Amino acid sequence: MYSLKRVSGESLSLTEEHEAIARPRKGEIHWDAFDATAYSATELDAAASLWATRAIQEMHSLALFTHLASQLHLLGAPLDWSGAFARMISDEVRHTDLCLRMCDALGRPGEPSIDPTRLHLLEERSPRVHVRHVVLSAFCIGETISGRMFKRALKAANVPLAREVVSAIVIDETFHGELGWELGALLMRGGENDERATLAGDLPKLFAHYARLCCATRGPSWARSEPEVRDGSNFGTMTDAGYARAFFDGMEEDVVPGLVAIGLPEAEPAYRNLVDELNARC
Amino acid sequence: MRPHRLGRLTLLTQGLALVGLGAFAPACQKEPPMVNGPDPNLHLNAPPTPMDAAADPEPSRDAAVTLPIPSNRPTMNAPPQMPPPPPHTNAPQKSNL
Repeated sequence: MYSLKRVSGESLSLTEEHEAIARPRKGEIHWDAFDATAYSATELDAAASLWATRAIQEMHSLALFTHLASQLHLLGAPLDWSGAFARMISDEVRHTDLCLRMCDALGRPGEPSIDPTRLHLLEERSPRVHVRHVVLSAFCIGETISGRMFKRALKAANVPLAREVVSAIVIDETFHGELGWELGALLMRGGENDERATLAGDLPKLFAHYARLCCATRGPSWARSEPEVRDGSNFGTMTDAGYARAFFDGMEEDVVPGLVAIGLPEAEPAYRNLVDELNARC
Repeated sequence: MRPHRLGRLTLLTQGLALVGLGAFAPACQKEPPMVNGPDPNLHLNAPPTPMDAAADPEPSRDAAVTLPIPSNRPTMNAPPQMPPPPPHTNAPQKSNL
């Protein structure tokens, strides 16, 4: 385990460059305008806890995409893939930084613990199978649903600072979704049938994994009948049902049709089975 | 996802593969050594590698750029020797809750 520090603590050129990368691509975040005394300690604690969790998730994405980029170089991918990944990686640096700064602004600075063994960097399969699997899961599923969640979080956020931070992330997530599906489609070219079958066979487990991460412990009817957000000050958060709803909507409108379009029709029965299982729990 | 986007994705799956098999692909037949050209294995950012002292006891001037260290100890720029990676589930944690 290690503690994730935002900066090195000295006046360094590398920190200046980092700060430049971490600025939003569009707009500005008015950190100094935020007045933490306007909110209760309970509200600030809850918001800081959420943003610290997001920092860890963004750090995981950063580690995963950095690793993926280096693997693409072993597979002979065109150079524009490297350029797209360079942006992707810088976006994840920005998101992690924004999440940590949000905790600072809330008066709850922290150094979240990262477990390197859970960064999912090590892989026994061949590089191409690994790259396909990660693009399918982290991009086509993960980034697609994450983009939806942040859009809803932006709609829900009524604290100005939170709106600015979430907005900066949403701008990047739109590109991530585009990139993920393009890569997913391009990676379906060629390859062996058994590789495609392996991907298709992984779908039920992947769907269940993301359902868990998105609090989708029950079926879509439950998620769509509950409030998405709580009343009061909102720092870009949603209820469990709100996250679950983003998952179900994202799966039905984007992920499953997208997977079918790139040659994985097994996505439809896999999703139906997942929903049946979740409904059975109600 | 709109129909035109789904159609475009389907089209993108057609065509020549853009990535290969990587390190697991069968090794290509080695090119014959270049007689007059620069050694493609030498470049400024390459980490030093152990040399065969018996084969070439006196390093050339060119080799000074990437002077090999006659030792198996890790160097400053070389990655540390790692044990074999353990198996893992390969499921990335990403939800941005």
